[in-house]
Amino acid sequence: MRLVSLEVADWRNVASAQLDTNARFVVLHGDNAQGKTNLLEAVWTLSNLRSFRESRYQRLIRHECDSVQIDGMVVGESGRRRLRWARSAASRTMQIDGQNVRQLRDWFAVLRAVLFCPEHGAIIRGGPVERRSFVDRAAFTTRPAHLDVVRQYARVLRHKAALLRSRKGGRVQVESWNSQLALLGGQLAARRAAALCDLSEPFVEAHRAIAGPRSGVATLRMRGLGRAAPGERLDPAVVTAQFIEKLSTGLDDEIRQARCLVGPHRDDLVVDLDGHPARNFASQGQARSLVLALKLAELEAARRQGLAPLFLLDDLTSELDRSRMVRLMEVLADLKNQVWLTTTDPRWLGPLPGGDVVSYKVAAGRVEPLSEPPE
Amino acid sequence: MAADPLRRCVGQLSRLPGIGQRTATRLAYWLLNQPDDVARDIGEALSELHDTAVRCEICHDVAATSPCHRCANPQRDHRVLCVVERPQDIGAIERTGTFEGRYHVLGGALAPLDGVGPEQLNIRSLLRRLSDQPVEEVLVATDPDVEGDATALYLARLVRPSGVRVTRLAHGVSVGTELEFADKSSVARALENRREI
Repeated sequence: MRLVSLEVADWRNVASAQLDTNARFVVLHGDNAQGKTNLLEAVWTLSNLRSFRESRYQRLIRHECDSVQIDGMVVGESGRRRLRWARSAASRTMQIDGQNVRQLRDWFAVLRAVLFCPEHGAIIRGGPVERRSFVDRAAFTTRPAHLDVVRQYARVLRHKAALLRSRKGGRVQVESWNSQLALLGGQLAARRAAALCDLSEPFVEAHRAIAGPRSGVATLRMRGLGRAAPGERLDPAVVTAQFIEKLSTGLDDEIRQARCLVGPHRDDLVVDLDGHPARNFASQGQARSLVLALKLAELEAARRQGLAPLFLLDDLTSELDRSRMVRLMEVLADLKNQVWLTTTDPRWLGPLPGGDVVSYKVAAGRVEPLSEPPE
Repeated sequence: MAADPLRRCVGQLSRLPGIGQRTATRLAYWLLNQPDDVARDIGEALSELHDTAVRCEICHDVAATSPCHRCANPQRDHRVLCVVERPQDIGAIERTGTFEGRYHVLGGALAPLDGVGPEQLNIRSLLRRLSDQPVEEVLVATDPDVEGDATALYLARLVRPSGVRVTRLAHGVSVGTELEFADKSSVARALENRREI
């Protein structure tokens, strides 16, 4: 799929912008705090229906405006489709070709994206929350139905947590929520394990390609209820049975401590470098290579499902050193996906593979095309 | 100063859920253009609602009398009790014309996040009915969402030890829907609830 045009109105600091983006590479450049990441965020919001930086929509609307709108034309598996996303205090709009969307999966079938941004260093060096959400996002990229399981599991978990906190729920009540938690948890863990199977091999290869052959072998595994041997798929019924067992042994502790102590919401993705968890020792540069390899693995897993999400890379200039940058460009040259890049210095990117590039300069919320690729 | 009668009418109508200012205005003008007994009939029905509608002391349905006509009807089957979340769910099952048993309205579903526990629902009276009446089966027809499912599981755990059968309303692909057009979760439920033929 390719986003061939993008139009925003009253988005962040951009009053209005129209971009013709029918190219393999779209480069947004400008100094810091001018709005280039805002445009990338608009593409992400169009593909994900939420921002990667802001949960309150009010902050997405330009200062002193009432509503915000993003329009995009996508050319993909189902031909040309026009997407419109808009928000105001009174309404939210999601339209494909002028028709309101009733099922989110219809939307995600048209446009999907994979994002790499500076904050993603936390996937390697931060807490398990970031790593779990990476696995869930990767599972969603290839199989959007994963989102339903994640949401339902989270809802049951929140009910159970509230019940435990209230200290009014007897064993029978807690067990009623546990039965559902176990069913959904089994599905969640099995889907994550399947996602990990899809990611593992592409991850090893992508890491070798980005970090270079001498930087060690990087591998992935899950820790906790959903752990599996490399390449092993889990049977949800088996995980559910194990989960039920753990829930019933842990029931008294959970009631006493008023907390949910067992379940896949406490699992962790372990990224190993030469057999040791990278979280404990990876340098900034190693962490970036690993995150980039995770994202490239996500793209490859999607490709094997016949999908080609957009690849959005924010602020590469500050993220990668010269040699990693050169190797990344070699990897990008072999992909079919449309790639969006933001950078403060386009010369630093060097010539992009294939030369199929459109560039825009972003200054103080104004967006202007560059006819000549900058020297 | 006397209130403008039309504006008052629009203001009151727009308090209804799903009715905005524009629809309220349209309804008010429509009423104004009808013979005056239309507005009077509607008004009487509305103003008597709270005085005449009562909760049935047995099943907690909204009715004109307590016990309600269904609970008072000796023809209805005592042995099967259908448990629903809301009074309006009874209507949905009654319209099928295939259920001859009795009902029990819970008044909601378990939702600890919203502070709803068993004490907030009509569960004690349900258990009393089970011990007083010769009920053989409790059919749980709560909504097919996480709260409805948790409520069903909770009731099953409470009721089963007394030897009463507990069943759950099947969920799946609706009749008249072609499989390819059915939504994913309905198909998934239908697969789970498949039965031998």
